[in-house]
Amino acid sequence: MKNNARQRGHLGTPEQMASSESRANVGRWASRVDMTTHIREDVGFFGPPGRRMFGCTHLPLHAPSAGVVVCSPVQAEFLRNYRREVLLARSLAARGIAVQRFHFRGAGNSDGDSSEATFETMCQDALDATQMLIGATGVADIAFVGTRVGGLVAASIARNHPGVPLVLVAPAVDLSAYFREIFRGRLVSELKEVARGRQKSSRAPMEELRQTGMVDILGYPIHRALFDSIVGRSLVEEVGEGPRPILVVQVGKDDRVRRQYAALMTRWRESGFAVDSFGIDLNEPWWFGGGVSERRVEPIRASALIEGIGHWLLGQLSS
Amino acid sequence: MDKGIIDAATECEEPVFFPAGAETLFGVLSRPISQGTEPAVVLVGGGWYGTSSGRNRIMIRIARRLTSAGHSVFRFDYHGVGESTGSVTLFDLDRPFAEDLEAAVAFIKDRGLTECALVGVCFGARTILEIAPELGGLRGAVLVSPPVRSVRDEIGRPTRRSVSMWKLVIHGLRPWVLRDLLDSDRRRYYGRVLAKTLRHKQRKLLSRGRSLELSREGNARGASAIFLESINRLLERQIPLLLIYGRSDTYFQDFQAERMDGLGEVLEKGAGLVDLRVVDGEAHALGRMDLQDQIIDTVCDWMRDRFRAGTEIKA
Repeated sequence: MKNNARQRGHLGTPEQMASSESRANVGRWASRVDMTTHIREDVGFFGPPGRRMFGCTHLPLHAPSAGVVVCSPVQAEFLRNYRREVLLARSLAARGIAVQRFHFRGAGNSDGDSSEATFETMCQDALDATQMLIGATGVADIAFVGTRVGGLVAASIARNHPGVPLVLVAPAVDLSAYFREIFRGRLVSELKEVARGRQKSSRAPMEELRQTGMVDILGYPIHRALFDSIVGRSLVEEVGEGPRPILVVQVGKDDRVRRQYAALMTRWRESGFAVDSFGIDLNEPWWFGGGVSERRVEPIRASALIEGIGHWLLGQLSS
Repeated sequence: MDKGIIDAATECEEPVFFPAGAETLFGVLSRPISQGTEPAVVLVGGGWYGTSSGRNRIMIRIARRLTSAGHSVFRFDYHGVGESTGSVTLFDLDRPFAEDLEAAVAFIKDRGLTECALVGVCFGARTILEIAPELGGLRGAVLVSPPVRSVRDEIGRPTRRSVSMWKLVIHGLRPWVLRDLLDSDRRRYYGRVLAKTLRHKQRKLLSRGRSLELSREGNARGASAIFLESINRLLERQIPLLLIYGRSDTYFQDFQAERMDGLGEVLEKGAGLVDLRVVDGEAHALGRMDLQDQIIDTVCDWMRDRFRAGTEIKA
């Protein structure tokens, strides 16, 4: 594989592509060209000084035919899904589609603290990333991919682009249930600690969140601001009424479509949406993992996920 | 809000790609705004699917805190992880990614950062031990929850130790052991070690005449030969070391067991160079935010005390 971290594609560097007005909002970037897959990756910081986001723009070496914005999940799920998103982006870029990935403010390499993040700021970040992609490539056709809570964000900002394709990977349908599942994970972990004779937390997660404004879930903070801004939402409301092509990707060991997804897809189809779905046979713990026993990297079924999403997006964006 | 971290963190940061063998790795180089202080620091992550950021951005938080204190800091993704190229299916403690770390150190040397300290977690700590003994310009190393034994020792083949009862008694009278006995968890642990040793002695008596069973690496002790040799060589070079364990880490239990034997002898030779810090809980999993904060504070305070870093810029 021949990689050249210094060559530039015909699109120029992010600094070159930025207009003079927006150049101040472009931080430092690094580029890498892969001559095997014929893609270029621009990785760096964008946005106003002091509030910059970390972003990765994956580009074909020729003019892209369309663009995709990837909205990541949060906290443990963000790390868990990270490499899959990188590989998906590279695969799409190799097929002629520009992809913009980014870290929400307060997460990953971006500026800010997690306590500042809300659903609204996450949507604004995704909008900024979308503008970054459009500004860098000039693509007219665009699609959105979101995983878990990132699916909610993707759905929300997709409303600004009527009719564009939307991919939802293991989406959180009911956000109250989503947080209950996360909090339950902490209780399970605490039970293990009690079994080992170690003291457990004296407060239930919700109580801790209410009293202190933050709850520690297996080493990741869930702040009150984020919780309050998301918990009352639903995927149905964020997707809205305007029909669009939707792909739902179910991740898990279930043989059949989960009831909540089945109900969702039925409702959308009845409203005129073109809905497709497929499942990935994978026991994905999302919030657990990374421990001593996980030295062997779980076969994350990246190839099946990437092929499925890539095939669907190519079909949607070329039609 | 993370204490002591400047708000405009990315203003100090430069994303980079750099070669490591056939792969291209991604890293972020942080430079202090004001005049820098030596040494630079290279952060070496644990072995899992996560990126260089680490659990709850712990590596980023360490990087930004140390940059605020005047150090240049480099964090990077292993091959097959994060934004780097390549693929990986197994993080083998016996085969750490030395080439990746060597490339990272070479990269910062090319940038004029000729002296560095290395900070690694678990697999990252083993990676450090793989290359650190002969690494030029090394000023110090921080090993968070470093596994003492080889992975094959961990997965079912118990490593026989030969520890004399006399040594056990002498060790048991040391002040830090007596202090540990005040803690119920530690008392239970020492009880298990004593029971294991007595069982071993009993088996030996019953099988008198058989040769002493050696560990996989031809070493009559339980600690990995590479671990022992690396620590020994670093101390011979007068390289200061900080070891951080969680009291509940299984790796700490191994460390404590090996301290009663060959590892203890090695560490005693480096008295004054080795700092051991033990935090409550499991440091390896980094599964609690207060524990993460403790580790960050411990690393940064040690860097300040050892290398007289500049004043932190408060947020």
